[in-house]
Amino acid sequence: MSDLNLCRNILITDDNDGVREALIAALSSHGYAATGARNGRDAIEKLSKMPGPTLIFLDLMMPVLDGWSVLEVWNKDPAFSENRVVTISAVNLKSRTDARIPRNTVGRLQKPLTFKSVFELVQKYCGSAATMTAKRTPSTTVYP
Amino acid sequence: MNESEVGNFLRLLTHDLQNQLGAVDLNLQIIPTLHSAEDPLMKTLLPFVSRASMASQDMIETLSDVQSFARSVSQLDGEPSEAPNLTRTNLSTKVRDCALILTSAAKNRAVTLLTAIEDDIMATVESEAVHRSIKILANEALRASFPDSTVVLSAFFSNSVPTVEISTTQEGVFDDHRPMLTIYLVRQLLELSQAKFIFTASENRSAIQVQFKNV
Repeated sequence: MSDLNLCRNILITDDNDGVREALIAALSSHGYAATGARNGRDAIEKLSKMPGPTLIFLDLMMPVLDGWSVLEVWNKDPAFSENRVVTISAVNLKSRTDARIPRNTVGRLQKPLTFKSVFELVQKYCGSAATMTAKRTPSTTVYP
Repeated sequence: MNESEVGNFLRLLTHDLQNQLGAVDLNLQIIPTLHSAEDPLMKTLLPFVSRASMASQDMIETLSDVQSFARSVSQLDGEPSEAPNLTRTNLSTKVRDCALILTSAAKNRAVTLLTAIEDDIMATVESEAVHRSIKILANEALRASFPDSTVVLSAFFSNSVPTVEISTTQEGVFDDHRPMLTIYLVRQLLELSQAKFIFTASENRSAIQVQFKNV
């Protein structure tokens, strides 16, 4: 992916505090800008305030508003297309002929999550942490 | 609570337990990447926590299996009795498929998974029940085997009797004298296939053979 398309932020959307906070802490310690949402409604609100593009990890089964409903909301917004969504589910969607397959997503992870699988996707869509920091920091030109 | 409510409760409980243990596992993966994980005591203790978490997840999978089996049996109650659905089944294929499914689980546990499968070991059995049973037994062998153990899945004729065997170099895994939920479950699953079970134990080897009728 070119630098222009790399994501500037990461949004971890999962109702499981242990998973969400562990990923935020681990990604932050690696220099990434990661934040969390505890359900679909929280995710919609948080994303609306984040400068994009954002890499979103989205649990499909959540209370209040589930991942499917969130995707429906987001897919109706043309401006959303700059973001990247990776869905998280408890079942292997590929192996189930009756499973709905999420549209407009870049990846699917199955629970239980491994940090390695998450980190590989972060590196793919956000680049290195240094690249992400450079994108977030406005460039300053100093004139004599 | 009626039976259906109990079933739903157990499914939800299983799902929630798996979620919580998934979080434990994820944290256990992340901790060693932190600087404080250099502490020698942390390095000693973390593997114990990790193994306890894996063992708990395995038990929950077994609970889920037993609950699914109990549900399918209770659904048959009250239905007109039918002849069991026995079909001519290629046990070699079943064992091979199982090995493929469990390859990454074996790798995660640092257990070597091998197969010794003769071609076209045919038997007349309930095909789906045999598939599940082989997977349950192979999973049990993987779970109970320490890292660097070897698990072998085999299909062969033993004195013309179609036989599936799961063995491990870890002692004491399969023991007919010790109550085991997985063996209980497999016996129930294979009752209609008229399977016979043989347990063997020796130094550095524990195995279960399931022999079927060659009809």
